Amino acid sequence: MSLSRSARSRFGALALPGLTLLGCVYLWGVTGDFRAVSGRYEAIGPEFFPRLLIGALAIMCLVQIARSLLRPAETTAEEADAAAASGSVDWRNLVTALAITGLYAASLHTVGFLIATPLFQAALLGIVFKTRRLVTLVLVPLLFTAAIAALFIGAMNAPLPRGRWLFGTFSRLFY
Amino acid sequence: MEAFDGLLLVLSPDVLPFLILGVAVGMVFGALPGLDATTGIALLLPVTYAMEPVAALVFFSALYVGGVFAGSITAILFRTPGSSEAIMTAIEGHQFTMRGEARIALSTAVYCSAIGGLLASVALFLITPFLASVALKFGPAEYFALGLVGISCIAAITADNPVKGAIAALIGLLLATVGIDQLTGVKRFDFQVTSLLSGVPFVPAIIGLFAASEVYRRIAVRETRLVSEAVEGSAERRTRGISLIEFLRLRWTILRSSVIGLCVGILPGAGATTAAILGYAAEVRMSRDRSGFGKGRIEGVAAPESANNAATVGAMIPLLSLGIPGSGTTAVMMGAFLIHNLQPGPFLFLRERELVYGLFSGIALSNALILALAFIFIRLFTRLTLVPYPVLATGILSIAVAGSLAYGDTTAVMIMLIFAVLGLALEAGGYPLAPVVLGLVLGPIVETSMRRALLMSDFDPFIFVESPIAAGLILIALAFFVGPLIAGPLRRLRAGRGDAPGS
Amino acid sequence: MTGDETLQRKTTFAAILIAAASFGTASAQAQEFPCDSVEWIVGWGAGGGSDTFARSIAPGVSDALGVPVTVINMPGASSIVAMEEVLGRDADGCTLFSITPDQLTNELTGLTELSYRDLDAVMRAHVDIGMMYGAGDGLQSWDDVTSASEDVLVGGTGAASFDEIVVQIVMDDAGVPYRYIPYENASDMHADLIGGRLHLIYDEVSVMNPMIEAGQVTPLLALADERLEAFPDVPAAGELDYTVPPSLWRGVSVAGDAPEDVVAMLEAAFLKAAETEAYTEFEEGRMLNLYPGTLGAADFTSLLDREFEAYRAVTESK
Repeated sequence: MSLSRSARSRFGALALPGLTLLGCVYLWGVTGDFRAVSGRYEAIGPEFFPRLLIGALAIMCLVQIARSLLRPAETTAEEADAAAASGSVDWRNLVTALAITGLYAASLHTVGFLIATPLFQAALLGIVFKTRRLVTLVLVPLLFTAAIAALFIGAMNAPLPRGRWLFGTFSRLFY
Repeated sequence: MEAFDGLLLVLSPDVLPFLILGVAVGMVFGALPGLDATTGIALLLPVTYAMEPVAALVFFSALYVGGVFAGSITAILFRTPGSSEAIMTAIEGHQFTMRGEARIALSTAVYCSAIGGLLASVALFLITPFLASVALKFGPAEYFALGLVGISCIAAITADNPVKGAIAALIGLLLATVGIDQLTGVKRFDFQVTSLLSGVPFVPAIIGLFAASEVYRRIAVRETRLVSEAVEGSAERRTRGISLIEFLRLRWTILRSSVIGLCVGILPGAGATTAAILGYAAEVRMSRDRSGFGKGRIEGVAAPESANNAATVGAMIPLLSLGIPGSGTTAVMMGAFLIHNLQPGPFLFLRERELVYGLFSGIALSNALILALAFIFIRLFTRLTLVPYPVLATGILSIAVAGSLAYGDTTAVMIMLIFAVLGLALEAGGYPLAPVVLGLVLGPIVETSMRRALLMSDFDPFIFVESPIAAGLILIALAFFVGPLIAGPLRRLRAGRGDAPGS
Repeated sequence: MTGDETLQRKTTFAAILIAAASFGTASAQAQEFPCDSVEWIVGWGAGGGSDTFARSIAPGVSDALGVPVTVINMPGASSIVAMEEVLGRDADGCTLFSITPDQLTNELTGLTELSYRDLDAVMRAHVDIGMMYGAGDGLQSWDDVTSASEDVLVGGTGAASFDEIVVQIVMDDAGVPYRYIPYENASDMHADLIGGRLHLIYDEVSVMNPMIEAGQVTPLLALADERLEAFPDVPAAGELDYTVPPSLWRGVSVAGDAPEDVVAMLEAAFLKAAETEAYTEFEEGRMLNLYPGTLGAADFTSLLDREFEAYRAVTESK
């Protein structure tokens, strides 16, 4: 599951600027829709600054790519530092962690903060960090959720989602 | 005499408890990622309705001071800036924790924050009454020039790889253009997301970029110990603070950064985060030996910490003398004045001198209080390093999500996640993160000021050089941009002539 | 001038309505308010005009309803984020939403698909009178403005916003060449006016009053039908035969199609809270009482429709 070092070192040198370059092309297209209603901004409109930045960003990405291709020795040495510092990447674990957080965020609206949060925390501990101690898996989420809820809801009136239907009714028992 | 009356007022039993409480509450808000002094003040505003105006205002200033300092605690221990002001401290200070020398960085942060804040407090007493005429000279052209100086500092921060630094900065600047264009009302890059109409929400963005991305990075590389095993033993041995001799060596760093922080704080629009970045950049620039920055140099902690607390105090100067807030936090502070039917500005100076001087004393005292309270809080947060990382990571991610929710809805959480992935990708590719934030903060200042200035001059570009302040600042920015480009090859040339055979 | 008359009549009507409402609350309270608690979502940040308004009237409303009223800030996108949240909840009347003319202009300028008609108006609390200001050695009177030969630089908050529409109405009637300079942050605009970089600004009196008292800015024109008692030297747009632009007001609403009896109870509670000393002191301190602005649900609804059409006429004339 780990990426070879040379492939990793090419990520920053080629892949990232390459992707950014593609992004620039797309965003430049989007700026075509920025049209000011009033004529008073003719000289410098809402699209001027974004286009300036997109242009500069594209140029810098090209410079980076050119540097990597023309002087591979110099740049790979640079990248190797970063790669060596972090060791091999466990992609499955990373994607799982991101997916769990994404799922948590997506479920908040329906399930509500009070129910979704301990589930998210237990999933993170159990699946991503592979905690097997039942005490940790149960107690930590309950304590953390209570503490965060007390701070954000109790002390600050932050609009944390309550959830819908039955979940909403449940949340309303607390706040 | 008036200053003395102000001090007596603050030391009275009606006010003093709120001063202490303010610093303590500020430290909690500052240290927790996703919460900062601004949030704390905004959220506690209603609580102070019933309070005496002096007590309420002293409470909030103390909260601001405590919060800006305490961001450094979590920044150093977990590389998770508790608030945006501690971004540079997170980069430099966490290296100490990795080496098992967290206490050196922490004690440096405490002393430097207190001294920076106290030095700036002196300025608060001296220059606030005289400032009115200068700050009013700052119009859009001057702000544009000031923003350019800020951006040019990126060149100093990323001297070792200017191309990657520029790419990171441009990404930040481009992100800053998201939302309703302030000058035409046109929607830009909103992708039909309502939350993006008022721009990329700053707090979820920095939580994602710094706090969450660090957790995911550790998950990705299975680095599930906060302090690497090799140094954990030495952490026990080397839990000492900074020594007096080491500290005295930092005197010029502290003085310089305090002055920079004070100046940046005074100028509206920049704020303590920019001050920390500029203080750090100036330190790198002034340093004869630049290696080691980013890998745990003590100057890299001292400079931003002196600068951000000095800026915190400095930001109060335009607020109190002109009624113009210099930062997001002081803008919220202004709300605290207005709730008590006080309009900050020259008028307040005329009518409520005792209150104003009381507030000055309160600000000075809360910086001194950092010394007393910080170590209690540090002990509290250092304990957190002993907590198993999985538990800590769960806590950090949960607070990151809840903190984003406090700024809006679940879209804010998604934005936080997107920034976490962005931070992860940039770090993996060896791109620095600080320029992204700098771009995000300075982008709107540069763009709207430039366009507003041109709108005022009917698109005559001479507006940028007519004013001596703007012209001077633009020259400084140009020097910063061009400097590294010339200095690099020059040094290489000189080095090449000197010891080419040896290498 | 006819606008003036209708307004007079409306205020008397409002006064009667308030009186009726304060009688009415006794019976309204006999009928239990159906929500355990009320959340009031304010689409602007803490410390702003809408926020301080909500926080000063909420305790009175809470007393009148007998349930706690919590103010929650949900700033962003000219309060559209908050409006989406409110409309996403059940239309049971248990969630309040602050409204200002921004709900009308947001819809007209295409910022959102949501309409003010998706909301049920409960009550308008006050009118925050707008004025045009000059400063220092610049324009000293409205005559100076009308005799200007070069472009007058006029500052306002936001582009394609309420302020820009108001400035457009006034300056077109004055027949003066001008350039509108939009600001996101009103403080920057004040600094530019005092610093002499702007000639004229539009802003509300609640914000500007301390600066007027300090002599930093000079009010040049009140955007009202007739001269304000508090500013006898300042000409009014009405007496110059200008179209008097709509004023900034603050009110409260709930998600549309809420139960009628709940809305009626809320209306009564708000009208009662508007009479409490805590709230009238707040209005006095901010000069929000220069113009009688309290309106019940029915009047407020028809005002919203009228003003929406007025704004539409201006934006479409561009």
